[in-house]
Amino acid sequence: MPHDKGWRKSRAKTADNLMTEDQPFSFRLQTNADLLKEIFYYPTNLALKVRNLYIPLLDREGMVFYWEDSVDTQTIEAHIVGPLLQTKEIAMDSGDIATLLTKHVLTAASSKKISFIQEAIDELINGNTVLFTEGYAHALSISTTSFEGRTISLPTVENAVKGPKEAFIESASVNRSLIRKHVREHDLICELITVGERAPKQVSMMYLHSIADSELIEGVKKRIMDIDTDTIMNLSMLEQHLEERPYSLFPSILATERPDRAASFMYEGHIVLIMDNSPLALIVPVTFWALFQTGEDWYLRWAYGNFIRLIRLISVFVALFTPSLYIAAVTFHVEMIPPDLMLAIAATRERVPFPTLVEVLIMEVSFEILREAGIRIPSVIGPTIGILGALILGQAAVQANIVSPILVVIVAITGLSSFAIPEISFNFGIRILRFLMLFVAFFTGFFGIGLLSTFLVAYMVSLKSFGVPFLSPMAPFQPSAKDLLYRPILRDRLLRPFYASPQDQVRQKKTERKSSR
Amino acid sequence: MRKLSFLLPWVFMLILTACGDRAELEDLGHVVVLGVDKAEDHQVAVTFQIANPQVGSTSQASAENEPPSDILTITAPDIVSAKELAQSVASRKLNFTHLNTMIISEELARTKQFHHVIASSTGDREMRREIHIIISKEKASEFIHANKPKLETRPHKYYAFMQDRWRDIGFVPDATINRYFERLSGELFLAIYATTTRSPKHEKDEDQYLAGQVPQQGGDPVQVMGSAVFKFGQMIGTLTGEETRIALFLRPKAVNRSVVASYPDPRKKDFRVTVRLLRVSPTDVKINVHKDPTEVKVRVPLKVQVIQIPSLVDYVLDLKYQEQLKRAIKESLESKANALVKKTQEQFASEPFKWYLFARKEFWTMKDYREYQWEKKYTEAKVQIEFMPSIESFGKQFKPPQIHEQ
Amino acid sequence: MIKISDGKLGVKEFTALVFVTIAIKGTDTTPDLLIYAGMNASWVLPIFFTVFIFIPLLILFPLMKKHDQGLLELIFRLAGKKVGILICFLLFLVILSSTTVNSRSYIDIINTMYYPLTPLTLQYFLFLMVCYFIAKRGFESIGRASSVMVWYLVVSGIILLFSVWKKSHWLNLFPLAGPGIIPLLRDGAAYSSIFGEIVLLAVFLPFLRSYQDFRKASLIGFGFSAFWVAILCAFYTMVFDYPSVEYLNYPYHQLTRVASLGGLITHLDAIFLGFWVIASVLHFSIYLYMTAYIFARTLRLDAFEPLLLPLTGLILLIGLIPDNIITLNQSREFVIFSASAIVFFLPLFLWGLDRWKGRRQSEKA
Repeated sequence: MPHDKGWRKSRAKTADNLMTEDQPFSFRLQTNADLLKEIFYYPTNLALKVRNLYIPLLDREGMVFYWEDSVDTQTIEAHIVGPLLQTKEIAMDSGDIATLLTKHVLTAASSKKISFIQEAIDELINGNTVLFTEGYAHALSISTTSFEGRTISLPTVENAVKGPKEAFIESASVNRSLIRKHVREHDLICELITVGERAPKQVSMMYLHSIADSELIEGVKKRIMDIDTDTIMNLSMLEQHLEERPYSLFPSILATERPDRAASFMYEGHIVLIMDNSPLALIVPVTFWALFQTGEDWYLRWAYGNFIRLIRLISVFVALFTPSLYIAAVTFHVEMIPPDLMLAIAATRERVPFPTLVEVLIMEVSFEILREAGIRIPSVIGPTIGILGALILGQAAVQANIVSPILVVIVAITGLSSFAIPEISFNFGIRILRFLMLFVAFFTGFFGIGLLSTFLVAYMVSLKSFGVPFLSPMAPFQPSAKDLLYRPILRDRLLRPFYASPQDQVRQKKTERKSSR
Repeated sequence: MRKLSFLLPWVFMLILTACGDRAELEDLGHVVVLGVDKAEDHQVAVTFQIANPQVGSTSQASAENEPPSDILTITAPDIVSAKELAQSVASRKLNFTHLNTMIISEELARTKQFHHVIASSTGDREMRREIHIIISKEKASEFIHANKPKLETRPHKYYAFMQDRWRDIGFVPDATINRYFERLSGELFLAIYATTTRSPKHEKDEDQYLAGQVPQQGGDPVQVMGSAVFKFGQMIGTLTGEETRIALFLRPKAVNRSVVASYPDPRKKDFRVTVRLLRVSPTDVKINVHKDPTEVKVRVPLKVQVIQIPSLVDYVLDLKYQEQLKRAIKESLESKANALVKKTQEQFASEPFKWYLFARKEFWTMKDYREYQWEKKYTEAKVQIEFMPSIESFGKQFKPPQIHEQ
Repeated sequence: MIKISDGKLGVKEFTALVFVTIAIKGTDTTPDLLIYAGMNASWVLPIFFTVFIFIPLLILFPLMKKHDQGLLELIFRLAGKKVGILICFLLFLVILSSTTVNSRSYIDIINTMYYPLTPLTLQYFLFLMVCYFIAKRGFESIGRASSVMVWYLVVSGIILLFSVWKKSHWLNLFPLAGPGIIPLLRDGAAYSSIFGEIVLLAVFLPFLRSYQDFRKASLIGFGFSAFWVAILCAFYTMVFDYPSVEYLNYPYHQLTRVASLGGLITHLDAIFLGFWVIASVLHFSIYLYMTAYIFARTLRLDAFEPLLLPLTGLILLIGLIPDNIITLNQSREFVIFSASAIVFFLPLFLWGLDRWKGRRQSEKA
């Protein structure tokens, strides 16, 4: 593992301030053992396991500590306890006990020497095994981590028809491995940063050293280290700690569950953050376009990729504007609607007792309820949601004279379009803005829609994600791969985004098309 | 908090007062046809035809016993005050946004009052310049009451369809308020002429009719044929369907691309040949303003598709006959055009062909053009009209089937 | 943190900003003036304006290059502190009055054409509030927002032209010279401050990356704007024909009312209203920002963004004074004429000062 410099920052307040922050180990084995046992509330809490053993090689008593359920006992047996008990004789090599054991006895993958109680606690709760020996004021931490978790499975949110089907799982090491599988580069750097005061958690920050901007790396690192909180459960919460504008409706960080997507972002100079217990990777910084695109755009051929992008672009606009355009047209600008349609709407509206706004709100809110209920509903009774939904958002509501039929169509197309927006945060943003737009349209018609849209654009261009303008490279304009709303053919993707390191801007040289002859 | 207390009154104001222009769709009474008649004391009798959305628009909410539209007539000084006054009768807020047709009685159109009515009405926000103007022979209210089309329940649909047909056949001009406003300084404006009354007469040319004269049995009560001629905002005469067609042909830009008409058969005098005339390129007008009298040269390129040859003469394969047919069409068209030009020169003392645009082209400044007084010069102008038909096709058969009597 | 977002504008953004500032003039009450003066040849006037405005620009740009400073800094440098404050205050008055008069006239358009029953005060308030919020986000945001929105505006404009194409008749443009060449030239000179913003936009030089960027963007933006205004004026005449077009209050909005795409999609005016509102909000955010900036520089204040709110309030209050658009148009004409003079003579004045100072220095040496 790369050198961990974050640990000094984290300061535990465990066990009634039994020990000071960096209390060193005692030379006496029993003192160390008692201290640890007290910290872990042994024997009330049976999680801490202790094994006493005699190490013949050193002719000393030793103690192996590990935390139940977070270690692989097989490994402890085979690579720690076994060798310690059996090794009797080696070519004598004087030196530190820790070095000696590591070099000649232990067969475990990695180990390190520790000297402070706090370190021992950190190591133990992270699933490592700590070995103490009598008369030695240090200990050896051997990695034996093995938390239970699920195996790699299909992505649940970011599905792709054509493309890799692996998704991140809750284990940081597995996730890192998934990324490394995509990015086999010697300068793929993984820095570990520890956050959280009470229960420190490790955040892996991965980037390509030759592509990512060094200022950006420093900035992100500083932002993570500056987080001042007791604990961060997972990436989704880290995301909220990191963002600059917590009240903004637009996300400034992207979460993806696809390793291939994370890897491709890395090649564009982005930084990927990974944590345990999060089947996600965070990508910083992020622009509007990343929220709007999917990995599949580039896996599909030029025409198909652009086609699905166009469809998604339309759905963003439909999801945001349709209800408000309807309300503006029906209440302010009647002349817009073709007479036949207008009369049909008027005829059905005549029997609906509510004003148009209420009618639209009833439907939109029911749709949002349906959507939320669909997520919360236990999967056993899942199918009922479809039946109920069809009742509310369908013929039954129309027949009950609560809404007019055209509204069902409008809510349906709006809802459908909102599902086509790939990024969940962006999706929420659009859905909330839709309501805002709705009210504005109700009060002032197209005048208000124009005002609010302009304000939104002005707001969006002033947003920054880790110093990168949200709408760049469109506004401010920068030379780029032109991978915004339209994607060029792969051969023309010449440049990396500007926020990548300037020394490696060019992805490929412009090549002449090779003819097949 | 301070910001909030500053904003709050405005938000309330927004919620409470911005509703001024907002109207729920079902609260509006959509006037689809407006009729204007002359009334006493410089007043006008305005007839509103209000569409009933619950009839014929959707199966979801239809009211069986209601009529498709409500027609009411109000006498008032002008259209806007009539609209306000009509509110005392109509249950819904009258709205002109979907108004597309305005019917004006010939009686009103022939007075100076017509211009006042039209010109002041467009000050209303809801009145569009794209509204079609129809001049009815009888009173507009009678026209609207009598117009009960058989195939369309909803009145607006009837006019929408009819406007498309007029564009196709070219018996009536495409007359909107905007076009009317363009031609107020002496140029002739052609409005649609229509009626529900009948005074049939039989003509050999199928299109020498005015509205009401077309022999008809069954069908809808409205006949739309020919045009009402306006000069200085006042109706001064009519043109028949055929004259209207010719006038449209002589205009530089075509609204109607193709018309079907019949022409005397050059080889068998009792018969006529039916052809479709297509305008492929704009009419070419050349005006020489330096000569006195002014010279106007008009060339109308036409493509001809022969559709029917009732005389069964073989115009298809015989090139000499073909040439004869072409010349016959050309001469027929030219003589009609010349007659029309003569009529406009003598009777109306102006032209409906938009030739003033070409006259304007000959001048450098507006002042020069005004001093030239084109309308006056036109009445004495030497007009040469040349139709240039070229026969393009002969329909689907080479030769009409012949009866071979043994 | 990253060099790119240095808070300065590039060529594209400033071009868009210039376009939004000037091209929108083809859609408000400006064409009324142009048609009144230029009759059916009103479309020629924007081209003449461009030619006339070029004279002060040709004087001003080399000066700015020489000193590498924005207009206001240049004034202070050449005219000294006291005179500088006077001139800047004059500029501030010009820009404040034109912001007030124009914004009120825009709200009048919206009020008469679309929302006759909604209180004007409320619309004016909403409008200026959004302008203020956008201006508050800073100059780079305005520039970027313009560069994003300008495409939508241009596309909507082109769609508008397409949708009235069938109803337009190019022969309506004749006789070509309209009132005659001499009146056209005379009015071209008299009204040329309609495009005078291009001189005032020179105050924003410090917000741009370089003088070269500024010059390029100003010229391109200005050229396109003049072209666009000319095209619009031509279309007004082509669709409505000359004497008739003179009676139109707001030709652009009448044009959108006539627009139709095919037989089915008619009555598109509300959609064009939406785009027009977008353009006007951006336009007045720029004006608002410019007003605050000039005012702050006059008083040598560093932070001028706190000034935005009081200035917006002031504009709202003054803007509500006139009763109707006709009284407004008279004050508008007055503003245009007085601004014309300033726009013309300020660069000349600065140039003269520069020459004089230069000579004095060389004499000393």
